[in-house]
Amino acid sequence: MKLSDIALPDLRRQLDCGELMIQMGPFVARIQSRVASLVSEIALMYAEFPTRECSAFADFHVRIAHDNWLRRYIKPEARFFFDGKPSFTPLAEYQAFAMLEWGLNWCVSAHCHQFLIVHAAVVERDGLAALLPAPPGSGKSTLCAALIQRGWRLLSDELALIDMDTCQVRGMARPVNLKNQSIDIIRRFEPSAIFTARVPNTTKGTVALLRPPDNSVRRMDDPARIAWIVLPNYQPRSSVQLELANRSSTFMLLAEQSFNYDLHGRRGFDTVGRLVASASCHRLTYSNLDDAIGVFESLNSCSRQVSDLQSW
Amino acid sequence: MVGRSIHAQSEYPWVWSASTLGTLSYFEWDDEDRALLFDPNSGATHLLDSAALEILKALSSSALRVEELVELISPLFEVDDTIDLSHFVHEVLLKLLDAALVSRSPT
Repeated sequence: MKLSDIALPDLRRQLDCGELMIQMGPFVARIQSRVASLVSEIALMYAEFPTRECSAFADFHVRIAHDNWLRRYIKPEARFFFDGKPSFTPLAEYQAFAMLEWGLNWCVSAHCHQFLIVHAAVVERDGLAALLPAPPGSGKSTLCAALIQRGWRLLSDELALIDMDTCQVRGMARPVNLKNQSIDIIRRFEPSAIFTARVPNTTKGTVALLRPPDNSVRRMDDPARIAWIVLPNYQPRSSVQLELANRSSTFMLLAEQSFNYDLHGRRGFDTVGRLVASASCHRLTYSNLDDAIGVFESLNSCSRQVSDLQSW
Repeated sequence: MVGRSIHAQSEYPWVWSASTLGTLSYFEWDDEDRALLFDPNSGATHLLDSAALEILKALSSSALRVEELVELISPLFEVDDTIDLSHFVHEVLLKLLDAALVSRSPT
């Protein structure tokens, strides 16, 4: 059953009782909350996600709850709980959905060490994935949001889950977190894109979550081979430019952007080395999204031609 | 062109050995002058230039003096006559020592 098959009153009841179990790629999250605004935002953003029976195993037990009784009525605040324990500082209640998303990211990055986890966006086309690792401010999520509006499959805008045996990447296809001017840029770029309400005054500024494409959600269990590692760099008024990136520098960037590289020791080293050796590594400077997407289309088309030649 | 400058033993009175003996874990690429090395003792990843990696490779099989290292690695690099290769190798060894990738003992 997918989440949109559940009627809104039932969804509210399931959330209330902590019976809502959402499959997010390799993980299942059990979510409990009585924060009213969460119901409609979960229904909107996770509509296509499969749900599980409440008796099933859940990887994460999370709760968004009012911090205390009084604060429910005066400047209401909500807090993220993990396994029953409060985590992080409380935020304004209207930021509850963004908090849920950040909390889920933390659940994955802090606990799921069966994967090498890299802070990167991942999109896929024709079975080949582009990994976009980059520090905040590089335009990674904006570019990812634009690519998935033009036919690329979303695996993640934030967390690349790399299987260390196969070097393939897994995704969760969860909503894309956009900040500040990126929200309007993507609204203009694709007017039919579906967003949550804007959430002002967060530590990241104003944020809004973009609903993942239905097809990406339906294919969330399909892993992909990383064919390109692209380091995006948004530069206002620049013309688009794709350069080959040094593999050793790309290696170091991936290691730096990984949440658990150090934890995996030699296995992490071998995995990053194999990834960098088998993918083509690039540095992309851009200001115009259409131009940047054109670059990705060219990369994909070159790979297809090479693949056709090999099979011929 | 390879320039060799063999110094008297007293100038570099050490025998050097790699901190990790046996197979090194590294990645290097033909078209790049830097390589990645994993140090199993510390769990650290090091970004090294190619010469440092070649020195470590040589030291991972046996302990060597600077002069012996120069003999081994000089054919691998095009070095200008004016470069004092012994001095260069010694400088690289000191950096590797700082990173705890090599150790030294008196000859």
